[in-house]
Amino acid sequence: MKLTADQVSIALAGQSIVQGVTLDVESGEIVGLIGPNGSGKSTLLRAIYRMLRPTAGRIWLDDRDLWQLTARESAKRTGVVLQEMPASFELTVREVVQMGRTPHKGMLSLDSEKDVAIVAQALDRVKMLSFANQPYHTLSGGEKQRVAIARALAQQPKLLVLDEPTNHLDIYYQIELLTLVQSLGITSIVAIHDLNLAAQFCQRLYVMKAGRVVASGSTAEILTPELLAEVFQVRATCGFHPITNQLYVLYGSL
Amino acid sequence: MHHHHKPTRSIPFWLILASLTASIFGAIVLAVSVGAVAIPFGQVVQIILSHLLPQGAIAPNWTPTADRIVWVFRLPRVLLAIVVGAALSVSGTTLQAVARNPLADPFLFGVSYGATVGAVLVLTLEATTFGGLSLSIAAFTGALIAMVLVYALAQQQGQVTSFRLVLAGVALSYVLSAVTSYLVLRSSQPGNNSVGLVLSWLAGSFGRAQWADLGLPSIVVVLMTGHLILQSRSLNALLMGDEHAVALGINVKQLQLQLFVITSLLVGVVVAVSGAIGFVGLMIPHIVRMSVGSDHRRVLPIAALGGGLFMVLMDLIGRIAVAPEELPVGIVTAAFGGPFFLWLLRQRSTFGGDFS
Repeated sequence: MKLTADQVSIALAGQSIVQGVTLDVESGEIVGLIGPNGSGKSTLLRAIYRMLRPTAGRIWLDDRDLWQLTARESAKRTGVVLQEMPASFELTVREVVQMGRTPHKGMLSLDSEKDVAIVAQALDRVKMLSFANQPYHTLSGGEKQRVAIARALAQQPKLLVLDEPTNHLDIYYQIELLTLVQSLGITSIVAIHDLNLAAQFCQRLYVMKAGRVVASGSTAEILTPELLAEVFQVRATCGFHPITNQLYVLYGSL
Repeated sequence: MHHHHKPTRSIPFWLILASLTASIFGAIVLAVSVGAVAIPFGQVVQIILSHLLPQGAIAPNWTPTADRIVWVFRLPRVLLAIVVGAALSVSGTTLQAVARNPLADPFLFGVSYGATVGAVLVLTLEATTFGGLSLSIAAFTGALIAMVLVYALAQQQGQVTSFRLVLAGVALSYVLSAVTSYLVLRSSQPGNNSVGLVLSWLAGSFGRAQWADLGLPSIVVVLMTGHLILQSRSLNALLMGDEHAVALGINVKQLQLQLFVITSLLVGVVVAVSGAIGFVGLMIPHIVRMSVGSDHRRVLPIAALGGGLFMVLMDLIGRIAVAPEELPVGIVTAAFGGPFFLWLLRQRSTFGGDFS
């Protein structure tokens, strides 16, 4: 599914947070959203999963206007993974993932064999099937995020919205999580702080600053010393690793 | 590394449901049998059946007095206790999901206090505008106003956070409890004899229960509990927080408002007939979640039955503990429920998810 944002503006309590953002994510593409804290990345993503209604502009999922859909129709299309998924109540891992079936189920319908299979499949996909009956709150941060992805997968989404999904994870789980997202082949938009991870896992990047998109393009076009100096106010060296040919960012000047 | 964790749900759901239902029938017979005049279990069952079955199906071998004691005095009281217990327990469960806080209950949210102010207003003014319904309507209105106030106070930039919800509820509870005290004090002026009535009602009691009191609360409790069970998936999604609930396709604001109205209705109709009875709305949902987890498809039916059973037993204790005097059931739930709850908390090291 293709995601398009067309001149989207969002205001909170009368204050403009996102101004005239236009972006698109092609079917199957992973697009990164980078920018300093408070640049409006999360707010923009909130509008894409219907948490916040834009004050102006349109968001399209293929040729459907997102805000013309019901909350439920939107949830059948879009899965969401946030920084963390807290649980103040005791739920098993399976119960958490089962919640992903919510938009597909009516009030009276019980879990069908198909639902059970989809949930098991989602758990298997993130290698958490053996944890299905464990209490969710006893998991480690990395395991919890994998469960969050499984829940999103149980929604059978055609778009994944990820808002700094690796924020609370150590580097092992950061790489593992993004590798997992990459392997899914689902159209994804991900807000991410770590520029090296962005370089490794995203095909294209949009750069936000003060509520606007200030640059967009391939990772190599975006991750340049000039742009990082201007947007993030850091000195950086960018290059391709001589052996792996992987794009990298080093902070501090030569 | 997590595989050492004990499975929490070893007893099948249907078995819990069946044994609770059986226990409720047992408790009804027990509670109707016990009292100043003891009536044998068998006779209790026969008398109840003789009223339910067509006339003449059971030849009476009991005195008209026994019949009156069972059918007129004790049975309505026991049934009312079940209805009130179920209502408070179900509202507690619902509010905990809305506030995403296992510590929420109708008192914490000011709903019970709102209902109390409404009812005390009617009792002290001896207003009979709506006849017998006036107390229920006043209590429901009070509960609803309290809920709407709490919800409005908890708003921040159009969002309602769990933290502000609880804070607003606590603050409003203090205000409303002061209003209740003022109303009671004012009614204790010479020439006004409603103060005794108000005080015994405030402590919570089923002492004046009649068949006529049962109709409205029963209908409300059955319909609303049924409706909430149908909303179980949405309630489950609410547990994960607003953002996650929205991501699962829930219209969070609309659902919250709907749940507030339902809770106000449940609390309002039972506070009107029994006074404000504490602890049930907090304790029973907890015990239920400990035994069956947090999925509302299981929690709600069991909380309703468990709350009913608990209340019958508490009222029974209140009737026999200091016989021939009676302890108001509100005092019993707090005096017996509190320590029991604390004991239960100590039995479990992990409790309440990330709150522990």
